[in-house]
Amino acid sequence: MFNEKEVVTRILNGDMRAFELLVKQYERLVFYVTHRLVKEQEAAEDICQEVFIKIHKSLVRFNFQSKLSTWIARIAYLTAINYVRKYHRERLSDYPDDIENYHFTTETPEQLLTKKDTANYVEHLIAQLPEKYRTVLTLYHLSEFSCAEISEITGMPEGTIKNYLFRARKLLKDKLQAYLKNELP
Amino acid sequence: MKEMNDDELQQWFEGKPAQGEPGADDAKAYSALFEALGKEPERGLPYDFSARVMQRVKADVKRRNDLKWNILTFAIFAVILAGIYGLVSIVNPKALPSLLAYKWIFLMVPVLFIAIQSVDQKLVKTNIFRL
Repeated sequence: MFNEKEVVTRILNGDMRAFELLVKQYERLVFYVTHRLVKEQEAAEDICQEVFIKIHKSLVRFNFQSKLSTWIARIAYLTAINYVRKYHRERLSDYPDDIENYHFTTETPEQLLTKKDTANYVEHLIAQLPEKYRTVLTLYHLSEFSCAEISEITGMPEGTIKNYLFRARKLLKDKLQAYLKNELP
Repeated sequence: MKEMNDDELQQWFEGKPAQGEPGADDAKAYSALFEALGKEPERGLPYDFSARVMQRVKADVKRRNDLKWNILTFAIFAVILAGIYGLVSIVNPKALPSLLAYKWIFLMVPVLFIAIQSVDQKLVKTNIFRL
């Protein structure tokens, strides 16, 4: 079993094998957080590497006041969000504040093909949501963090996270409902 | 029994208690949605991801250690030089002005040594990856 305290202590004592254990333990978490924000696979991989280098450098400042996974997810979130802000500025400003009025892009035949599979269709819809909604959905459903932990990771108030979660799921449900009824928009 | 609204349905699917009857269409859509949201992405990180990270971390640690070592080398040399100058000023104060004229040359020795070493390391590293 992975013992956070023991592994961190070993890493701080210069044990590289312990750090490799940490990488293997949390690589999926870091990738989940990153891939929903950064679409390009190669860029997402680079960011994941960057995240672990940052973790190695700043582990000495980790004081066990939160779970290690929460701390790592925060580093991954901030690194990915910085990348998005630097290279995809236009995408952040394109979203309306009221998501209920949000319109998904007109679907091309290629995109419609992905609708064959519900999971693919949901993924396709999530990819079009504003970045904060994507992050909250990923952290809650895929990484199984609580709203309080997501608040710690993203710095957003807990109430906002619950609100984002509800609105995003309602919007996705409405789209999925139409899809399941074979009423493609 | 009244039908659950979206808020209650979402709570119900999270396993929290909720009052009312789930509407068939909404329940079906939410069930598919919750399942899809929990599904791992098809593409993931390469199998050798941890090995690549370790390679970069080791290189980073080495670079930081080299920098520390170089600063320490320079500091030791500067202290030794200051010690020699101090000793000369006590033993033979007349020789001090002529020695002081060469102070920059003496200080340049460790700087050159460190520069040659770092260039050499870079060249060796490049050649190793070429082989």
